[in-house]
Amino acid sequence: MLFVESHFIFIFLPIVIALFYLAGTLSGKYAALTVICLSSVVFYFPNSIAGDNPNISHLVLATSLLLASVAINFAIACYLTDEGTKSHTTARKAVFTIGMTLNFGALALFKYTNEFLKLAEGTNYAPLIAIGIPAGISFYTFHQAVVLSDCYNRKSETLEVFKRSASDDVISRLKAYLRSAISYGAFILLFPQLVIGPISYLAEIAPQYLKRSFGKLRRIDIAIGTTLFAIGFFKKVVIADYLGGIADSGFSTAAAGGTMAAARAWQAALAYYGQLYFDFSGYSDMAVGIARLFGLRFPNNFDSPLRAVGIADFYQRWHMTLTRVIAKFLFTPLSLWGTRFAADRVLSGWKRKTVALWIPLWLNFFVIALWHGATSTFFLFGLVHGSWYILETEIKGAKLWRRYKRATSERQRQIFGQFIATIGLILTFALFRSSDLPSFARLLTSMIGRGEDGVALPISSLDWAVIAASFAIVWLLPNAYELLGRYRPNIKTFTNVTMTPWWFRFEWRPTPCWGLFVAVLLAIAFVKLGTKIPFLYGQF
Amino acid sequence: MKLRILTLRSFSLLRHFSFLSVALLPFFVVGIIYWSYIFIDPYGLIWGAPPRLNDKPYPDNVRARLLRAVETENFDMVLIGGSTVMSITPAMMKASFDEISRPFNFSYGVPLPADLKYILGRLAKTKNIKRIIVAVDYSLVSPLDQMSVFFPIKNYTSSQFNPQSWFRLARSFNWQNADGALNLLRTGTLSFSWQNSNEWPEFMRRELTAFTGVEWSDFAHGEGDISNPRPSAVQSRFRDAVDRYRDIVDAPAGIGCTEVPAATHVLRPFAQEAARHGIKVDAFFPPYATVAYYDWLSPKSFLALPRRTAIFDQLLTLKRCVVEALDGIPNVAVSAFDNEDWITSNIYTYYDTSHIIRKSVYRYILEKIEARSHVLTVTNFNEFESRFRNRVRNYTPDF
Repeated sequence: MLFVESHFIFIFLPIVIALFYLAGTLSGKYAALTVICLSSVVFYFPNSIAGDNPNISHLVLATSLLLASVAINFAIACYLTDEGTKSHTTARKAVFTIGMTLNFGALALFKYTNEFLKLAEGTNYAPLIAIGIPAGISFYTFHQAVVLSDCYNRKSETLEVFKRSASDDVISRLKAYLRSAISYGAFILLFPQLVIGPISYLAEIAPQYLKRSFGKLRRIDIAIGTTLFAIGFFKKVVIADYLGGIADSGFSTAAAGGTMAAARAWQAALAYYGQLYFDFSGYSDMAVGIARLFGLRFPNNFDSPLRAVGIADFYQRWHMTLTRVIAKFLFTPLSLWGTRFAADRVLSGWKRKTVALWIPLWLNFFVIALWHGATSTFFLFGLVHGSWYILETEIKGAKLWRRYKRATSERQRQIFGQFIATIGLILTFALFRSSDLPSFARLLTSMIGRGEDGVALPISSLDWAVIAASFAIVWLLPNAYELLGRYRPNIKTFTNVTMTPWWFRFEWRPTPCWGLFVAVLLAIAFVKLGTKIPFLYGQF
Repeated sequence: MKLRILTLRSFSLLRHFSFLSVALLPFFVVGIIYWSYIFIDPYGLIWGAPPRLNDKPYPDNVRARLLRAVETENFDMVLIGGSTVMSITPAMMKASFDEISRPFNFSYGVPLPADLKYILGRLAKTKNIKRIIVAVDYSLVSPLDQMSVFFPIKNYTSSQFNPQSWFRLARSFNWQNADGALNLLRTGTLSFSWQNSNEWPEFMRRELTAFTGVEWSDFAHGEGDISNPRPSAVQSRFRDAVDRYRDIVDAPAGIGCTEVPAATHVLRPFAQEAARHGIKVDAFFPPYATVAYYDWLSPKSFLALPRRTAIFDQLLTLKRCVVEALDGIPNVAVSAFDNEDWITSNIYTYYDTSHIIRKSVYRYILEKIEARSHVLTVTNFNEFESRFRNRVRNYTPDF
């Protein structure tokens, strides 16, 4: 079930919202959370395996895998947060390691086994895991790994969720377990973030469950949620899907062994760059909006990334919840370890940097690349972005950069940085989209004017107009979170400088005029109902 | 100034409404349409009855959903095939077949053996049908268990008690279906507002410009004439293919009727069943452009065939197997038009290499099927094959 499908919008969502607030008002927040748990399973089941006609037994298996994973992680989290096990350091470490191994083992087994077999044996490989990749496995694995890590480190907000009853009464203790299970289940299964994120922390969401107002209908939550949903819906079905059509024809020509005219190749690359942003950020806006319909605030996942002034800035604005989770659990520990290693061996200069910074950064980007899939294009994408990040960090630390900074204004540096970053990102995301390296090479050949126009597809001026309009939206208008900034629509993931021109810094308010704006977005987006183009990040 | 006052006044009206009542208005309006669609169930998926049909061509993506309606609507002739015959309209069929008063074209994208077996099995038992025409395309070289993604088999196995059926109905909403549902409610007949405006499949309109450089509107007004030449890149691709594959174009595929099981396991049982019910059956092979057999050998070609080598011989084997499988069954004829040079050697007959774009050619084919003047039999097949092979082998592009 996708957020843009009619049965989600007109059947599932209204029914779940009604049941949620009914349960919350009549029986309290745990009843409301139970509605979230059950409805999330209903949401997940039909789409638990990608494809138009998945086998029903595969759907059952994928849903069972999710539920088993939640149950096992809950049991491990209970053990790690138990006061009685606090002093059992070795046992806790062992249980934590087992939990992490199970999570990432399942991810590796279901997501990567077939991909590696394909890489090793070519197209005639025999798939080892026949059911396909369970939807959202990357996201719920990361969610649960973060919870286990917080439990292992006994983070106070996380401990609150797994709080035991002080009473000796069995019923009270069971009730406490049940409440923990419902809170934990509602966090992992929470359907707005289950399949494509954003990757939130239990420590961010659980305190919201504990609020007295949780489960009680507030008009402002519905207004903010509807606005974010409408913005995301419009971005996805109106802009991203149109750009997708332009991109697909160019990339599929390259994949089929053809080349094309330079204008067409650039059009495809630009269109894909825009499509990926509008598709994924549209999804995130919808997810944040749906969560807000239930009174929940999610972390921000996008902050105008296409205006980034460099690769480091880009990753502080693009899929921010993945960036922060990888930085927290991979880059920071590796970098700390490297720094200690360099200090122990008295390394200095480039040797220290290699161990303490460069290798952790490369690994960081390697994991981000691998997270998308085990293909040569993703590997190269990770390698290029990792190297670019290192190069940019080194340049910004050099004397030459300081001299350049003194000689230029902030605005000049911003424009120059944006120009370089945009070109680099368009090219690297074209690599990301290409089906293999030879296809990417053909696209590049075409971009520099060395390709023959294979099928002579006409270049439509409407396509160029849509691309231009999309990039005008990207460059000029405030993003959804800037627009609704006054009402704190989300949890800030990173703090970035706004680059929206001051004359376009509109501020949303729950007034009838803004209601009209939302109504227009919804009305235009509803025209595209039934097109069923999946979200790009659903495949990861 | 007047405009400004009007605007301000109309915006001031908004003050009487709350944010949510304005913002959610489209949601409620579209929601009512959505729920109406669910209750009407225009294709009879769960609680709806098979819809009444009219005699106009139905949109491509709708036809495969109409099998139940075709069974109950008293059609006397049904054409079934793939994209190569989608453009044949009921009016063309009616004009070409004397005894036919209510024909229906049940063609949909890429029919494959499994779905064709299912459909033909049901059509052969349908009352009132006097004649069934089956267009045999390259897709029937596929294995028996292959099913077309364009045929919604699950629609025909739905039940009121199966949650999966409800789910399918809930998912099937789009504006075209909603339009059909509302028209069904209004007139009692399933019809679409844009049903009459276009007799050509949507994909053909879309790709016509890409392949020929001719805009759809210009083409439609010219009654099938392509006045501008094709883009030279396509022509040069065809010429390259002819130069490159001249020596191997009719190389043996090394397959027999065992590798083309649809002939004996789909078409033969159907023809026998139809004969028992007194239904006339015509199988025919939509003629492809001669250059297709060269172009399809190129990796740049878009054609998706199970085997990418010796395509000409694979298709010839299909033809031979169909002729042999249907031989001797009463009221059954197999026709072929590949040796009609004026059709197949002229690339402007097609918008690509297999989809005919001239109505006059379709009319000719239908008339000859009715007259049974291009019939292939076990006796004359070798002569047909020899001519066909020579034509393909000695083909010279004239563009």
